[in-house]
Amino acid sequence: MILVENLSKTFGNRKVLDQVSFTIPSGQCLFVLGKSGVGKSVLLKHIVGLIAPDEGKIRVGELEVDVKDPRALQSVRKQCGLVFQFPALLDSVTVFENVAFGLRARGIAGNTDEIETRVKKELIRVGLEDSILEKYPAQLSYVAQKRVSIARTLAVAPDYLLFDEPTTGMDLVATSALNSLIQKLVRELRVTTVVVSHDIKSALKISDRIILLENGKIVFDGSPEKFKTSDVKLAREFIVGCNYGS
Amino acid sequence: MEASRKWVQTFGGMILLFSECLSLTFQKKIRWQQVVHQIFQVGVSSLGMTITAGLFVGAIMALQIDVQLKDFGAEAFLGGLSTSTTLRNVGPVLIAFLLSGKVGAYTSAELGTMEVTEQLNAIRLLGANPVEYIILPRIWAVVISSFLLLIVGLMVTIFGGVIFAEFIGVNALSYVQNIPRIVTGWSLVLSVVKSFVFGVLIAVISCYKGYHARGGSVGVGVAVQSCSVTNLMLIILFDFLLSMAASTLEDIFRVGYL
Repeated sequence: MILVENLSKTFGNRKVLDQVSFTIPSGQCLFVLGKSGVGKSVLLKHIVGLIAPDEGKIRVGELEVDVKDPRALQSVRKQCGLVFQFPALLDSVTVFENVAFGLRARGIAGNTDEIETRVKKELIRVGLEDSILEKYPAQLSYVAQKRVSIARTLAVAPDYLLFDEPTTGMDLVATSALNSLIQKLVRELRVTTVVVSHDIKSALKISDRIILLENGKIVFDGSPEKFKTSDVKLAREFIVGCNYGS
Repeated sequence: MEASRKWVQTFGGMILLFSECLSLTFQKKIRWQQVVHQIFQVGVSSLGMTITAGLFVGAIMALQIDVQLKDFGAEAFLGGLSTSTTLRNVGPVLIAFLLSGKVGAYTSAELGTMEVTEQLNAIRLLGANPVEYIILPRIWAVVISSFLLLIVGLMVTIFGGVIFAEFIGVNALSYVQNIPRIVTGWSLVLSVVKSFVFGVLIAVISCYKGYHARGGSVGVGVAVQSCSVTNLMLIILFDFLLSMAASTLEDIFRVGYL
């Protein structure tokens, strides 16, 4: 379970999040929608303690997210896996080293054989072949880098899976393939998942629940079916845009 | 006022970063394989530049000092004076400037790019400390390579002076023979200490600036620019402080001639 209570954050004189509260039960897939720059990624970074809130509190499972307590924060982060908006792969090491990084840092896998087996398993899970193991991120396409980034996150077997704009910068075919992959992972792993996006099609296809952010506040919180028939103006704009797009 | 506050903040931040690296080093968390890799990455590639610059610095010093000495008919002192000046001051400073441009800019740009592309955040979330995994090997690699390059550069400056002395009509042998008359062990110690301190400064400043880069590619540009300016300023400041300290110590122990 993830609990966000009265979360507020201001950058300069702009209030990005204003008393945001919600709870995500275990195993649920939540989509956080909103226009660009509305604070969706900021919300996600609060959950993993990369940003300190001005007000409010966050709990991940039994643990409170406290950026002033590095030890407690480390325990929170050990439960989470965040796939960044851009691949964020370490470009000075190979694909193998990237995926193995978390296993080594968290001391999850013991010997080299075990690490190799897990790395290969995760690459196959995200639809990549182990022939890319010795390649460097710059030698891969953007979509392949994104998949490696997902494999790196899955390798540490997180209890909470967080995606920050997973389909940003992708064409329609790649977006569709990545959405299918996320959908497969959500069903297969049954972990609590938060996807931050402005991709309404993905939200309607994958999520159990949708939250819509506007001007730092939640203006919609409900199922994808309710979202389709919502009276909220921004929700209507998203639905119209989705229909127009298709 | 705001500028002073920022300087204090930056300087304090650099001291904290270096303290954390020292603490991690004493905890034996340093990964030497990474250090060696980084030394090859940033150090070896700077060797050619350092040798070329060193030769010319030595030649320039010999030329300029010869011009002054001619007026007094004291060309016999050229080897000693030129080498002493180069070792004690000009050599370490000029070569440190060059290295801050090459090694420092490379390191701050690399770390800055890692920060703005969220590679460092990814490391944090995977349960590792970016200072331990990324900064620590780079700090020591830059300290070691800058120090070694400065020592190589200083040796080459002496050689550059000897070669150029021949061109301006001073016998190379008498040039070399004059060196021990003026250059003392104290001069050598001072140049080694300066080389080490400048190496630490370049390493800490470039890692700190890159690590604290914010705001996309513009942020990386600002970090590299700030790294270069801070490096130059602090190298000059520390050169002054070390020269003052050396002068005072020499007076106390009466070990120097200059």
